[in-house]
Amino acid sequence: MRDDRHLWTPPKPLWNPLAFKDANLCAVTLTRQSLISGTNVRKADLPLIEWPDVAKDATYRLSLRRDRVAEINGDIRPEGWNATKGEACSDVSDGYTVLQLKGRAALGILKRGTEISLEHPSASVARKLFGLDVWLYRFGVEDQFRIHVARAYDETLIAHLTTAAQHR
Amino acid sequence: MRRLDDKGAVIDRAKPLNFTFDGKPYQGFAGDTLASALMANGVRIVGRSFKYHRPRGFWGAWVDDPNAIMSVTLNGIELPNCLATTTYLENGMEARAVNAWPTAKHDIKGGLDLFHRFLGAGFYYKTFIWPDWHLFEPMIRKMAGLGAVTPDHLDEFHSDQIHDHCDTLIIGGGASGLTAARVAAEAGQNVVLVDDQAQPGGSSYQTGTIADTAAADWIAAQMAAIKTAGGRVLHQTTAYGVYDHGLIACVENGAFGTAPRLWRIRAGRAVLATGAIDRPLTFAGNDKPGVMSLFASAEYLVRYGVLASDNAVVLANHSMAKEAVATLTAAGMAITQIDPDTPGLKAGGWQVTNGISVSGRHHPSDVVLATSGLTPLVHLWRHAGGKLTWDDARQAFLPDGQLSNMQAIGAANGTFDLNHALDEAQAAGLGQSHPRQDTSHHLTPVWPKPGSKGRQWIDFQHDVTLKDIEVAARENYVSVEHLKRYTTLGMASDQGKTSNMAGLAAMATLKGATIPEIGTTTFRPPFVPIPLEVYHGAKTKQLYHPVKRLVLEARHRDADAALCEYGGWLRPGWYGNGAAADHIRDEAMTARTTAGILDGSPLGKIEVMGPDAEAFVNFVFYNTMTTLKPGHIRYGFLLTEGGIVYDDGVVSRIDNDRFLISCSSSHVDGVRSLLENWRQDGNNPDRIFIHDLTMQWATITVTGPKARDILNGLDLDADVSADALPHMRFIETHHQGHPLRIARVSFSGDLSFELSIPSRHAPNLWDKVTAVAGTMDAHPIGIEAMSILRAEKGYIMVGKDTDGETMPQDVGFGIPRRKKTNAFVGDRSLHTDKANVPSRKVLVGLSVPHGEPPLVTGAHVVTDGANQRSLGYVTSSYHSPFLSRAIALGMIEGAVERVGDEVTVWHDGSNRRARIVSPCFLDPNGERLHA
Amino acid sequence: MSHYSAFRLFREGLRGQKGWTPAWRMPAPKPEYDVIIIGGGGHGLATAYYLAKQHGIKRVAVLEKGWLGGGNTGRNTTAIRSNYFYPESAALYDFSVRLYEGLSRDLNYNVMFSQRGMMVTAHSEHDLEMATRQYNAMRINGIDAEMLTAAEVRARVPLLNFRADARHPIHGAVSQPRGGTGRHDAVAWGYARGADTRGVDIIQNCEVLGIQKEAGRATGVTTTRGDIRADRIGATVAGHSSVLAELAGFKLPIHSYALQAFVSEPIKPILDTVVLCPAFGTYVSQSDKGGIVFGGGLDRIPSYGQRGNMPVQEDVVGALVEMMPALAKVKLLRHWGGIVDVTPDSSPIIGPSGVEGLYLNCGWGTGGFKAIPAGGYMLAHLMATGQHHDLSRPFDLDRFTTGRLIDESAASGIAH
Repeated sequence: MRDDRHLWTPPKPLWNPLAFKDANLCAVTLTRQSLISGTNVRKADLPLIEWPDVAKDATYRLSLRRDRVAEINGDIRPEGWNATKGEACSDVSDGYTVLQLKGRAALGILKRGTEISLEHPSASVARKLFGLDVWLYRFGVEDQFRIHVARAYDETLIAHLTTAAQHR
Repeated sequence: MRRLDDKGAVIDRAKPLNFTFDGKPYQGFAGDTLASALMANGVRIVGRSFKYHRPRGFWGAWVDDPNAIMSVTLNGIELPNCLATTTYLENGMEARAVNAWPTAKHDIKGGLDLFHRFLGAGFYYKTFIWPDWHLFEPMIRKMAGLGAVTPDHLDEFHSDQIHDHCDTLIIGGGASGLTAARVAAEAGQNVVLVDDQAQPGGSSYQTGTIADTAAADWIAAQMAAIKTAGGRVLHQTTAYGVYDHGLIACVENGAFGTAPRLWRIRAGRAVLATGAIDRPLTFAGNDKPGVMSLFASAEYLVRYGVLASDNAVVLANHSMAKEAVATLTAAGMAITQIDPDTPGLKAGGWQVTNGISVSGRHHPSDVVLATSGLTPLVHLWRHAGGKLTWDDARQAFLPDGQLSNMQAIGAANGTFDLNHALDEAQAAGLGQSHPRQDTSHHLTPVWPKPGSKGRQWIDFQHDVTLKDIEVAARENYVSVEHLKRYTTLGMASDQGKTSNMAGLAAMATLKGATIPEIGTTTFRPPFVPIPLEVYHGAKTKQLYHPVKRLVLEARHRDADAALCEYGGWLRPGWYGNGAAADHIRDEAMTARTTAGILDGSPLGKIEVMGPDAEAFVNFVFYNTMTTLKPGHIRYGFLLTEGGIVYDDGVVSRIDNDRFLISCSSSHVDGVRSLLENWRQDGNNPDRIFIHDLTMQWATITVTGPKARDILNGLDLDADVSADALPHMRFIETHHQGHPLRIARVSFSGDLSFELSIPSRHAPNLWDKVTAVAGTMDAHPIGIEAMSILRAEKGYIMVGKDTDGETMPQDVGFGIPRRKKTNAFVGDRSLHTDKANVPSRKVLVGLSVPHGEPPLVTGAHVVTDGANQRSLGYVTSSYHSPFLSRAIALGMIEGAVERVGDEVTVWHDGSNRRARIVSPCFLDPNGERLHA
Repeated sequence: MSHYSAFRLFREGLRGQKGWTPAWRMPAPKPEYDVIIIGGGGHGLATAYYLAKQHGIKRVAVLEKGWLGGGNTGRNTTAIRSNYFYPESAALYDFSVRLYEGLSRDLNYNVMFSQRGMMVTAHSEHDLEMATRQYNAMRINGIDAEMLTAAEVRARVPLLNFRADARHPIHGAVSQPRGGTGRHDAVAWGYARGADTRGVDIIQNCEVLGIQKEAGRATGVTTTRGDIRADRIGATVAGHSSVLAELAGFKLPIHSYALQAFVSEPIKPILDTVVLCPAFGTYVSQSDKGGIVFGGGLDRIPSYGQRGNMPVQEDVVGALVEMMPALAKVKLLRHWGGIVDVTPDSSPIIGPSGVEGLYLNCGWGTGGFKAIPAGGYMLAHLMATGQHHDLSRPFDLDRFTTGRLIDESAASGIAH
């Protein structure tokens, strides 16, 4: 087998924000991410974030599919099938790295990787960004975007965002 | 040809620029194209035609020029095949004519033209047959091609690629496009205007005034109004293709040597204001340098201040020519007009034209300005699926009918009258349709006359002449596509912009048909040639097919792991900086004598939950899963509908309605898709839910005789003794407060545990495990060593030991095929003729005499005797350090009955002998496994 | 027909090209023929040619709804090879290559078959193992094959990416020296002229609208140019096979997809062999005119649209630039699409359709051009004798019932 250790840049944790022109990128640590599937998951008391909603609460749910949400910073839930609620739940707190891109140039950077527009709403925040499956939505303020990506691809996404940020 | 002092709307005389062409130095100005600068310097021969190497001059002023193709070098970057008319001048540019040596003016291959009689269209189909095409081909190949490509990689040549949306995309910034953009923007639409020149305005500079304003001022006012109203304008941007669902692809050019930017614009609607281009006339000698487009000549004057000549002969068949003639005359050109329909018209001169001869008279001039009408640029309309209609008055194909998301205006719509065009633009800006008015101009059709004398060009770049079209008609290549392909008319880099119409018209005359009856060839993107890099962008090197990274990668690097690509992940192949073979051997030995620690995190972990989970898992798996109890693990196969092994893995039942599928790391996405597809097809998706948790959990495998001792050294709460945790069982416990799942499964054939923990805690667990292991002389091992261990046991790797034919019974799992009663995916295919033939390839071991090297993976087992054929192949082959011998697995026909037989193994012409044995070379009773 | 030769070319050059005669007639359809072939692409025209030439059956009509050779035959990337895996495939495709080797002379039409080799690169140890298996299979099946080292690949194709930071480093390749490219239009035109000379009627602009049947047997067709009867009907309509099957009342295990192809502006010779890089999913060659001709994977939504979309274009073209970085600055001239009829095992369907009197030659998917001579030869044999030729029998439609599939998805090279 071919030794490729020199072909791949060793991963660097994103301790400090990366500064781009008119935008910056940092990693976010969340208390919890839970994947919840079931026929009624879109009906709950928590805010359900679609695109281009801006999530403003400490705990919220991301709308992924008609039968799936991701609950952010919610309570600890037992994993598995809950027959009473008719829901399947799995902890995915370690499965997704959460990045945050903020600034005037942020949306333009994202447009390098996905066909996205504030004028074109979507019921799901799941999409492909630079070919990677992500959950993408606004958080806190209008020019701040959170991106959940499979942890094994977080280096790749950071590299793509960095390259995209270099274009004027 | 010279520069006038008082003209040139887009050049900046304060910024002179130096450049060279074919080695000679010249000067131009900022705003010039290479073409306008060369013309200002009186350069008349700028290239050579493709086949006959005839001298070529400028025909057009923008994308419609087929002749002026140059390779251009600047600051060490060389770009082949640049069109001089669309390449903006920069200081220090060195341009060279392609396909000419040493210069365009003096090309040694110019003599080829002497043989033109024998080199007509399609000549190569009629000869080179004997003795062999291969004798002639190298010479033909060397003569073909335009520019040469340097083998260097331009490291900075990367395209930015961006998605964008707008309500209204206006394509073309001439008078019509500017008006439509302004109206649309002022009406509150989200507007983007793309114009392919550095200075918009299209051909408006030729119009003295628009709405009582000087053209340049009028253009500036529209631009200001568009921007004030919030519209965006992209300059030097060409819309080159229309794709499904309103997607329009554009390239934005920048400074020379930079890769263009790709814009993928999803437009609610598009307004096509791409204008029209001038049409050549077909007459004897019409390819000579100096014969150029009348309207291009006007364009050179108004935009760049270049007067093509002080005197010219004008050949025009329509009244629009009047304005161009007036513009040129006012600038001092002495013009003689000649009726282009006069028989016997001929452009004289040797290398360049010296004027027109007709009816016994010669009219001397340096340039012949020709036009036979305007051809609307309808390419994008056709990409979008719009139809065309033939218009007799204009002798042109015009957009016809309606498209839901595109309308054409102005010259692109055949509307050449400016006032009508502005009306259309006004309506289009508001999203309204507007009927096309009759043109106020009149035109007398003047098309090629087949049978007339003299060499008359149709396609200037490919040297297709009227005679070639006559031959094509004579030989029945009469359909428009046959005509094009047989003569190569329209297949040059200008894609027929200046040749298609003349070609169609000639064929129409030859067939006694009308031009619309001949039809057009298919208009295909891109509208102009664009660098391949436009499609490439940032997806390069590590961003091309990126690999998945382990959470423990830093640990592995610290331990000098050789990181290799396995199934889309970057994983340790072995550890150490020395010879790979040595490390792998040591690791394999360690794993069998003490223990090996392997990062198994990429292994798939897909949970299936819900009231129908059990029935569903039983349906998608070959093996029976209904009898799997909570806490138990079972090995199984996922089959395709064709009964072929798609993946193998283990299924753990966590609860009555919760299963964990551990599929191969390389197949996780595929398995997840397979499960989701079947969930929705024939099953009730409201009762089955599938969560892919592969990234959530890291897995550390501890395998070997000391495995249990290592686990006991971790201070776990759990009892991992042989009684408490037998083989193929799992328990859920904790490590330092975090959930830990311990599964007793084995890929090595030894006592083996898989410890799964949420990924963020993996480094801590890894450190603990390796520390304890180290005290027992157990170490991390990589995939290479593990591959040997599993082969010693005859455990398959799907995709290596199996292929597109392998069914589960071929690898030793035949019972469910006979006994499983519930329906499952692939069931019926397991009972076809082929599924039952005795000669199926099955998995066996192959053994060679002690001391011989391993067999080559990919060698075939062959029949002995005459008519040798393959019986199968070696799929895995290693030297086993633990067994001190070579071992191999293979898929061989009917081999189960042949265990013990000797066979011939063939590789690259050499034979070896091997014996068919059981695929399990180690511990067949499983004592090590069940320790 | 005028015989083509250098002498003739010379003579006509002196006479103003006036002596050339039509390459084919444009006859009106007769009411009845012995054989009708539906589909005037390479396979259909070759079938007609071999019916006339090998079997003396000349009362044949080829019905083409557009202009002859206008479907996939006029749209492909022109590769000719027989580097397949299974003996049945190797035999069929190599038979085709051997026919191609003599085709220009046979047809008296230069089809420009250039045997400059076709190589499939290996980009990992696993790739090399599979390449070894493939190479050995070819050798055992009697097909010419070479294993090339990375250095040999580099010497032959310096354009490939051998940089230290290349994403998919090259380990080696398997090459078939007798593989190469041909001029696709010339193949169609050559067969058309050859068939026409022997009395076959090629009817263009004639679309088949229905299959006429009597007592379950196909007896003729209804077309836009009238009804035509025939004893036997052959269907060679490639991407429209499912449409035709529906007209005739049976089903085919075929999905039809758009396959895109690309050509660059012409450049001086820089690549003189055909290269397929499976790690990139893209294959490439340089035509005699200088254009870089290349293609890759399908647009994966079933469609008869004969056009593809940007994501696949970016995949294929982007892959080419990653494979051969020096081409980044070369310009794309044109891209287009065809419809490919894909079977579950990526092998063709040759044989009776199940409707008596109607025979099939389809399912070639992305690889039909290389097989034009063999496909035509086999279908002609089948329709003339009523029996399979030995080489075509394994490709009968019944293999989908017996399970005797010939899974060449790996050998076809392109992701399905």
